[in-house]
Parts: sequence; C-alpha cells; structure tokens
Amino acid sequence: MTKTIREQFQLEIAGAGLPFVAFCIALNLTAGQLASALKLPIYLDSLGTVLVAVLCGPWSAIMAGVFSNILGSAFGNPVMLFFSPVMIVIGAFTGFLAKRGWFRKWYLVPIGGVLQGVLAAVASAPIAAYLFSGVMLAGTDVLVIYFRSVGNTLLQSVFFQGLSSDPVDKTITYILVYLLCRSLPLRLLQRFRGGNNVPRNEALNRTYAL
Amino acid sequence: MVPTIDIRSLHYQYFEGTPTVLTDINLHVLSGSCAALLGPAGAGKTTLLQVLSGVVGSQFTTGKADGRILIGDQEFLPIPSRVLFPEVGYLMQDVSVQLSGIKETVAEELAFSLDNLGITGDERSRRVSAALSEFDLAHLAHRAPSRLSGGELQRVALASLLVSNPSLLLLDEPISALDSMAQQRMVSFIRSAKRTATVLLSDSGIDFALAVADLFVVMDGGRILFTGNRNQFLNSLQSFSHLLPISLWDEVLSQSRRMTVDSRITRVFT
Amino acid sequence: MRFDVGEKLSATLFLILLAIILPWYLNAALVLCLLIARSTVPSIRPASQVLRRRFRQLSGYFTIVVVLMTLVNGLLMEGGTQWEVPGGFSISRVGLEFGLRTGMRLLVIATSLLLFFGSTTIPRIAQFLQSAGWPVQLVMTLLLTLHFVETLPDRVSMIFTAQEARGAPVRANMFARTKGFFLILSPLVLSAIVESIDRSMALELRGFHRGTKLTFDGETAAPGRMTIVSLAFLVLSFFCILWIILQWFQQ
Repeated sequence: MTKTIREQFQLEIAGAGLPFVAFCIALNLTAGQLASALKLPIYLDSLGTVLVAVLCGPWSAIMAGVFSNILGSAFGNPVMLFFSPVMIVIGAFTGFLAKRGWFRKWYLVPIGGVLQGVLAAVASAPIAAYLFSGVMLAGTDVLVIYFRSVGNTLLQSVFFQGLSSDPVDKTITYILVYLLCRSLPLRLLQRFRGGNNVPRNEALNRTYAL
Repeated sequence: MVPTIDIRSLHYQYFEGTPTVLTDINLHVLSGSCAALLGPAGAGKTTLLQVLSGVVGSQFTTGKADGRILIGDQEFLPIPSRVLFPEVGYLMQDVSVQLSGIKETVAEELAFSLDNLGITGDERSRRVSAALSEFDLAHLAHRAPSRLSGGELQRVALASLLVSNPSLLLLDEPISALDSMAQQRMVSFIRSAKRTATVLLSDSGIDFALAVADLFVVMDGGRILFTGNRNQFLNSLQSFSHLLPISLWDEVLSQSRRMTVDSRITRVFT
Repeated sequence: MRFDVGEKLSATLFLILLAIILPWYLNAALVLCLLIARSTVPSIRPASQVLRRRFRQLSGYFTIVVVLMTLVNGLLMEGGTQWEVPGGFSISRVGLEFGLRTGMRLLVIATSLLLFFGSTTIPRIAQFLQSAGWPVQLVMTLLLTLHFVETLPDRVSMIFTAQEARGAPVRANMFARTKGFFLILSPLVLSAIVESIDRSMALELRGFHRGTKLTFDGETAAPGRMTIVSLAFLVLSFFCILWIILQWFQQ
C-alpha cells in the first residue's frame, strides 16, 4: 500500500530519527567551520543532509536540508534561505540512490557524488542567476564574473561556477558518509529506518547488554 | 495504586539470531518496596529496567521476548509494547539527555511531562511549584537548563519525573555522577519515595543499595544469580566479590573485625 | 506598533519581492527606510544584545561586499560610457549599473531577513509554525537543533583536542588533514547517534510520543489566524509575483 508523504516522514523520524535529524541539521551548519579550522578547501554544508538521506530517508533529508538553510539564514548568511530548493534536490536524490543500494557498493559512491554535484549545480544556477544575478556574497562570485567576462551568459557563468566546485564537494561528502556509516555497528544501524542502506561491517557486529 | 512487579520467565533478545540479553528472569517486588539490581556493566540491569518501562517494546520492533510481566494489575505478554507513562517514571543513567533540550527555563522543563499529559492551568502550576520546592530548585526556576551544574541537573531530572506522580520509579545508576552529599540526599529521597511508589534501581556498587534497598538482585550476563533480603545478601556477599566492587567493604573489614555486619554499615552511613 | 511573527514573515516576503522589482536607487532608499524602522519600530528591533551586534556586523559586511562587487563588475564588464581610473583601468557604466542593481537588491533582501531573524527568536518561529498547523515532530526537530548548535562546537573542540593528543594529523599536509578530519567526524557522529537513541527514549518516557502540542511560556498557542496586516502584505506579494512574471514574458 502506498503510504502518504506524512506517514513516510513519520516512519523516517520515528525513534532515534528525530533527534538524529536535529543533530544533522546542526552538522550542516558547523561541518564547514570544522573543515575551515583544518584548512581544507571544502564546504560540506550538505554533510548532514546526506547522512539523514542514507540513514533515515528522503523526506526527513529534505526537511533537514531546508531547516539547515533557514537556520543558516538566521545565524549568518541570509542568502542561504533561497537555496533551499538545492537542498531539496540533494535530500531527494541521495535518498533515492540510498534506497536503490548505491551506498552498499563502494564504487557507486563517488559516481553518485559526481551526479549529485552536477544536479546541485543545475538546481542552484537559476536561483543564483535570476534572483541574485550571480552574486552570492561568497569568494566564488569572482569565478562568475570571470566566466561572464569571457563571453558566457549569466546563467552559463553561474552553472560553470557551480560545476567547478559542487561535484568535488558532493563526492567528498558522499565518500565521508559512506565511510562513517560503514564504521557503525549493526545494533546502531538498525535503530534507523535506512539502516539497511549501508554495508554491514561484520567485525563490529557484537551485541551488548545495556 | 502502588504496584507490585512480577516477572516470570522473561527472555529477551534485541534481534533474532543475536545472543539473549535477558535470560530466564524471575522477580517479584512488593508494593512500596525498593529493589536494587546489582552487577557489573553489561549484566542486563539497564535492559531490564527499560523493558519494564515499555520503551524497549515500543522502540525495538525487531526484539524477541518470551515470558510474562505483571505491573500492578496490568499484565503484559510478554513485555509492555508501549511506554507506561505516566504510571512509570524512568531516570536515565545520563541525566543530560533526560531533559528535553528545548525548554528555556527549569520551570518549563519540569512542566514538559505535564504538557504531554495535557495538564494545564492551576494544576500545572501547583505541581511545578511543589516539585521546585521539594527538590530545592525554586531559586533555579528561571535558569536555563544548559547552565546547570551536574548535581542541579540530577535534581531537575528527578523532579521532572515526579511531577507526573508515577507509581513505579525506575532509576538507572542514580548516584553514578553524584558527590557524597548528593548521594545522601538521594538516600533520603528514595526512603520517602517508597511511601508512594515502588522503586527499582540499578547500581554497580553495593553501598547505596545497602542504604535504601529491601530486595537485592544480583545479575550477570543477563541472568539473575541471587535474589534476597539484606541479611541474605550480606551473608552471600563473598560469593559475588568478583562481580561487585567491595573496596569500601574491605576498608570497613580492615578497620574493625569485631563489629557486626549491620553496625559496620551504620558506621559508613552516619 | 507591534507585529506578530506572521505579519513580520509576510512583510519580509513582500520586501524580498519588492527588491526584485525596484530599480537600484529605490532599493537604496528602501534599505535606508528599513534601517530607520529598525530603530523606531519595537517589533523589528533585534531581540538581544548579541543579535544587535550580529546585525551590525553582518549588515556592514554585506555593504562592503556589495560595494566591492559593484566596483569589480564595473571593472570587468564592458559597454556604455567608460571612465578612466588611476592604474590604467576603466570602469564601465553598464558594469556599474549591473553591480548597483544586483547589489542594492541583495542589500534589501539581506537587511529584510536580518531584521526578521534578528527580532524573532527561533522558539517564537517554532511557536508560530505550530500554530500554523505544522506537525509537532517538525517543531520539536527545529527546537532540538538549537540545542545541538549550542553544544556541537564544544564537542568538536573536545574531540579535536583528544585526537590531536592521540597523534591525529590535524596540522600536517592536506591529505593528512583530510584523514584527521575523518578522525574527528567519526566519533562525533557515533556519539551523536548514541545520544539520539537515548534522547528519543527519554522523550518517549516523558510522554512526547502522545503528539500533544508543545507549550511556549506555559501556553499552547491557539491555531493561528491571519491578520489584516498579514493579508495585505500577502496580497501585495501576489501582485509583485504577477509583475515579475509579466516582466519575464515581456523580455
């Protein structure tokens, strides 16, 4: 029987799902700061969204992504709010891949990351181009100006700017999430609706009495 | 009504095909008494408490259970499949996760359980005020829970349990993070709580249990190895020396070999 | 003059859409009006000292970025009148206008959102969402996120220090630092999962699963009613959207 979106969402956040989604939203907001502290040139602002998509499901991942952007707007860059559709795309697509087992095979993970990055660039380009004329108050705005100066349209320039960073960032995110989930013992994985979306690390599968 | 607890032949495993975490548990706890579950880490104490609270049956849908549990006049075959709130109050081992994390003041935090019960207005205010004064928290009513010390957090967590007037208290290692003064307060609290509730607590040591418990249950590996009253427990204590830390016991023994067992315990706690 | 959360939200939506329609000089005037309103209208004043400071810092930052972007666009784009500047560069009128148009639009949007989020705390937003009919689990998730946002930096710092003490390569070359990043992320996520499991049990043990609405300051907000002010802003926003669509087709 087809479940309604509300029912599916309730199933995804049942039990440990709800607090974990809240943690992942906070992770979206702070993972980038951690990367900066380690002087790594990556954003990882969708790390939490991808984690939720894999372990819980697409609907809770969409919620995590949108809430991240709302809170990101509230705490720092107001522009983030308008890129919520990009987070919706990330949550939905990653959830779709996870359900089809793409996070169970290591060689599919980077392919999925690249595809996700291209999709994210496609989704963010119209928003950045038509709403903000390519200016998003970030260092990458210079890239947009450069692409425009060599003859591309605004939309093309913004898309190329996205293509220069999103596939790399999303591939790293996917690989990190795969490695993180792979290091979780079965008893923890099975507390989440999407626990079967990741490979089981047999060496870690010991039960314990609480 | 203050319930008795009767557990018959309880077996439980979290997932099929994995080792059983509770094996052949048989336990009878009288109404208004305090039973202490003792044993090392991994003995199954927390699991048993959580099974009784209903949270295991509610959250672990893959769990396999056999046996029967009777709490008061409610019978569960084999275990409660829903959380038995508000009849049961459960104090978690880590009190920092006990609090909701969303309330801005201690008073609102105490009222969280009442909100979930739909208790509003004067009754809500009355219960919150009573809990604040009983646990000496009135001066902290408007403080943010994130700014509480460990001992204050413990008091708030306990108070938040009791606002819903549970008749069964399940306390998971209630003194593990407390200093000796706070432990003394916990002893007083449990002695008075027994008037209106049945208490089951877990501990990995014996000192606290000796001060408050009427029934002593020694567990290891998911099984009950011993059940008995205080005297029976003390007489059998040497059998469990490998399971229970008795460093304080050694200290007491070395100080006075001529004193009786009960006097030694009295001396420790006065 | 007091505005509730719904009215502020609909006003913010209207201002954002207005920023897309108006020319740059009207947007500049709008920014000035918003800054004056911030000081004179109690409902949109920042709710705390911290928020006031954040508003000042962020609005100053955005202003500087807008000025820089305007100049850069003027330097790199060609067309229309060109003005020579020292250093052998020239600034084009087309570039400047483009920069001013996008910059002022961004400034209005940023200022509107800063005013909204600065004067409305997240718990108030959550209360509004609940009264608007959002499921209580969504509202709980939003509020619980604040708890994690507060505690996460300390946890990260603790794990960072612990891993560095164990010899994790957090200050070496980039490859090593990437490995160090994972060594910090892994225990962080693991501890978060364990905490999530415990928190979910604690919430259920305190009766949260019953689905009763959350209270704020002891009150459960009544179902929200749209006020005249909100309705007016929403109607104006609707007309703005129509105008934008019309302009887009005409292009």
